[in-house]
Amino acid sequence: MQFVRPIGVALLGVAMAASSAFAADKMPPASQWMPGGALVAIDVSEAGDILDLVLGDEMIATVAAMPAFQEKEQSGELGQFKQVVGFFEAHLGTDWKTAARTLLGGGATLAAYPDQTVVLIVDSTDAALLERFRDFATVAAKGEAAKKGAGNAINSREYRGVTGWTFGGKEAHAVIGSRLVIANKSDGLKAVVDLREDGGASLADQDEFKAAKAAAGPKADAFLMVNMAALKQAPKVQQGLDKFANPVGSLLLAGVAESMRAANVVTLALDVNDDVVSLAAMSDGKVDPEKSSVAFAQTSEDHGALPNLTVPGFLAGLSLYRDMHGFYAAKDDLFPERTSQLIFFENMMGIFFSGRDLTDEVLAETGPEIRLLVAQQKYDEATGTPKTQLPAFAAILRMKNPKEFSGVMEEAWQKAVGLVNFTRGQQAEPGLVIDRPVHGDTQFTVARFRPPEVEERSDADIRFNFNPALAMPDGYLILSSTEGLARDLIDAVKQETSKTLAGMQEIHSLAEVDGTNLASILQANREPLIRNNMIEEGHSRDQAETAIDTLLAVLGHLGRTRFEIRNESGATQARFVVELKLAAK
Amino acid sequence: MSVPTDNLSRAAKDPAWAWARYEPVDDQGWNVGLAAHLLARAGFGSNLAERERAVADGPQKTIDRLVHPPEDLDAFEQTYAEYERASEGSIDALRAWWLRRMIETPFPLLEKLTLFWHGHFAVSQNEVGRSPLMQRHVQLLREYALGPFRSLLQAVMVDPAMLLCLEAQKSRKATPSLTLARTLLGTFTVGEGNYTDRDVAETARAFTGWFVHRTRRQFYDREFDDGEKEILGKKDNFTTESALDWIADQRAASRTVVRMLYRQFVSETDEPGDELLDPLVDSLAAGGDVLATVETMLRSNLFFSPFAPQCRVKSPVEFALGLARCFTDRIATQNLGPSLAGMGQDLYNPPTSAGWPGGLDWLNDASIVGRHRLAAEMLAPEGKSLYDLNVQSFAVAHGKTDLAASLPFFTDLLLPDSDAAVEMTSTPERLEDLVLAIACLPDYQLT
Repeated sequence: MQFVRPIGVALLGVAMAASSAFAADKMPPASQWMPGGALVAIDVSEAGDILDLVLGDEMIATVAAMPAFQEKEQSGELGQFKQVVGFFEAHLGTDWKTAARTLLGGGATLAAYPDQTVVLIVDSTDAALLERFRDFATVAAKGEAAKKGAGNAINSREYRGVTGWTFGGKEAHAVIGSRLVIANKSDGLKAVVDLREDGGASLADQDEFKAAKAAAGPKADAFLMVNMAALKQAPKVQQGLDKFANPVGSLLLAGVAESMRAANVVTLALDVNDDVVSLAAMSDGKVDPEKSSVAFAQTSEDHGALPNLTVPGFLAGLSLYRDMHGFYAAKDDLFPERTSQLIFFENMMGIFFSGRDLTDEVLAETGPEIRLLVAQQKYDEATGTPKTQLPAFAAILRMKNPKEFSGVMEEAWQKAVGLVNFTRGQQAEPGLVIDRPVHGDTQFTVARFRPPEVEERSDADIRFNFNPALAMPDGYLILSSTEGLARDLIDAVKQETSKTLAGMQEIHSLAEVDGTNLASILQANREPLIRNNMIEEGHSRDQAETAIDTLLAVLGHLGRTRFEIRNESGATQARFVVELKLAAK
Repeated sequence: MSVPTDNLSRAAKDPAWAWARYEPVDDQGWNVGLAAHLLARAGFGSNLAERERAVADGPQKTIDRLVHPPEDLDAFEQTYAEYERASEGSIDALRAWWLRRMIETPFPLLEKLTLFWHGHFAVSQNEVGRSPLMQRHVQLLREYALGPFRSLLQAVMVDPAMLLCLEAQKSRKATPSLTLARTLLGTFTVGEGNYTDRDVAETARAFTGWFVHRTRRQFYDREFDDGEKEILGKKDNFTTESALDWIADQRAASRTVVRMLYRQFVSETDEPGDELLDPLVDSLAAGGDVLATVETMLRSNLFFSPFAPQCRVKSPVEFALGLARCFTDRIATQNLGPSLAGMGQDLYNPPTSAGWPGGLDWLNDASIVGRHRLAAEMLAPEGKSLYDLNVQSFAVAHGKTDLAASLPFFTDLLLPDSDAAVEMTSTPERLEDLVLAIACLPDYQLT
């Protein structure tokens, strides 16, 4: 499998940031050799699962099948790289996969410090192979230096019984038993040697590191510690966190930014289980629910965000548990400087809702379960297929008093269609015609453009992506960009039971994306994407095709991706799960 | 801009000499500077290889190549027309495709004249409001750009985009469009002082009956004023077509066009006398092609005399594309359109019915800052630039890695037709800064 070598070596870099299944014999954990006071640290304690995924035959085959890789393969651009890999294998006396597993198999720890020192310790499971690797790196560095006419740029020095090396003075490294220590400054390497000899306050003793390790739990293959207490001192970080202090950000994130602001440690824990990659984010910053926007996303044992609805061609869903009425009622207190910007919005809503108070007579009529959904469209033959195919999207809410509010909503919706028609009429554009079809036992309202002429149907105008619909079955309020999605959603909500409607405990936000379907709709728009890439990136047609096909291929290997945020006792946790669909071996 | 008056006065006195074919002589030899001057005026700048080829081929053979459509033009045109049609109503995308056309076209003179006519007829998206109509309008300009002016006028004046732009989308018998008629006479053809208010009113009557419904043009007999009209001294039952023929045939109309072409291709620093322009006006008024007029200018003694080079201020489009073409054959154009608009040349949106004033109007405090900023963005190192000119790779490919020693090379590259001596008090730290410094010199703003 000559062609897979370059991929493996490329993946080596990925795997370098992670590793360890076999703790180095007779050595303390690498975190005990690293100084305390780190701003950021990564600890890979279980490299086996990660290496199985990254260096597995399925991943290699997947990357080898990528259009960008194929193009480089066919153009011969990988020739030099292959030569290096061959040299690498010959020097180490083993194939690249075995070398990678051996060199990285003991795990890795990386830490970055306020003085911009970065230290990386990699544990191999074979000291002899590690020494051969170091020798290989030295030969390669000498060759590079000679090419640049830099002479002998390889230097070494003894420090407390350890030989430290540097390539061109830009880094410092040493091999200590089966352990490779690399630092971006020689002082970083010295600090490791000193700590090894003398002991002292290490990363392992740092409170934030211990807290992150505990938060990640024993099952995590790797975790990232972010020392928020120290990072928050930086004005740029503080400004970044403050950016979310706006109405939309607060409502969407519901306490996440506040939790980050209050945090001492933020932890990211990685767990790889076959083809499923999970990333959990945890903040120890506690937020008083009474004094933050998290108050409007208060879940309980009985209530939380609802599962996303299942419809054909599901692309993405966002399910939120938010008390919109409470949030909007408190806007003057939460964002006093922004209230004036909402006056125009309220006035418009007053027109649609016939003068009803937006806070108490409109938003108060909706429940806290808010769902947004995006799905692939099915185009009616009578409408034809638009040149650019846009996905359908919808908002699904629940009404508290459907009997009274459904009429109000119907009137508001038809006024909105009228406004759209009037505006389009001013621009001499065709308008929408309202219809009241029946689906099952639900009569709903849809507004459609008149179908295009027969000869235009294979290349229809972009407006035929829209035929907005309003449906209100069984107390649900469905606002959809298309009639087809409205019909699918009517069917979907009929499947909901009292059990699913109880919501997911403690989860106030849930986002899901179906990578396969997303790739499918992008595939349908391949030509517009290629054209856009040409003018946006300055690519030739061939280059643009490769870039877009690679994107489509990557998305095609993603299954369902899920992101959820929960709030437990005032602390925020987020979880990100990616399901990979790799190529067959 | 200093003007060598010798050639100017000789041209004024001797139009036959001015428009005669240039043949290099010892004291006025064909060189890379003149080759670059020719390629810049007839297109959008040049790279080293194009200049070298032009020097080897000589002026007339190079002009043969510039004025004759290449064999692969049709395929190129079809591909780009398809790209533009598929832009789904996005004027930003149209702008990006047009800029890309200008860079990649195998027939740059066609795009140069298309842009010239866009400035002349000045139909604006802000007035038209529908980008598919703008796409068709510019395509129409491209289609008729090189032929007789009369054909162009016939096509453009009843183009839906033009009718919408001049508020003539409902030209009823009872309310003829005076705006359209006044613009046609005063700006597009005979010019101020050559028509009366009565000519305007009578011409407007000849345009009645035209309506634009959404993107479709429709002529209604019932709304056409079929009575006798007197336009520019001639009484007739003018229709739109016959009125346009009559107006286009006016010698004053040809003079307006030739004068503007002179500003575009020869010089904008002087007002040429009628005697100098008469030979060209005669040819165009007799139904000659616009291309023939331009060809005469490009081949002429006057064009290659010291009088013509460096006598025009580069438009923002010429500035940006000329810089790009020095280094590469293709750049990302999505972000270029808005930058050019910020410098005063918003493609598809000329500022007034008179188009872009050009000349020194291109240079003011804001636009000079804009030119500096755009050049800096274009020349930014790889990975930081939206345009990927990759000056470093270019320098390596040409063996110009020594920054201090590279100044003459890059000066010649960017200022091939200028005598400006570039001196720097200190060598910039980066190659990109060196090129930027040259691109911001006053001489680089001229062509």
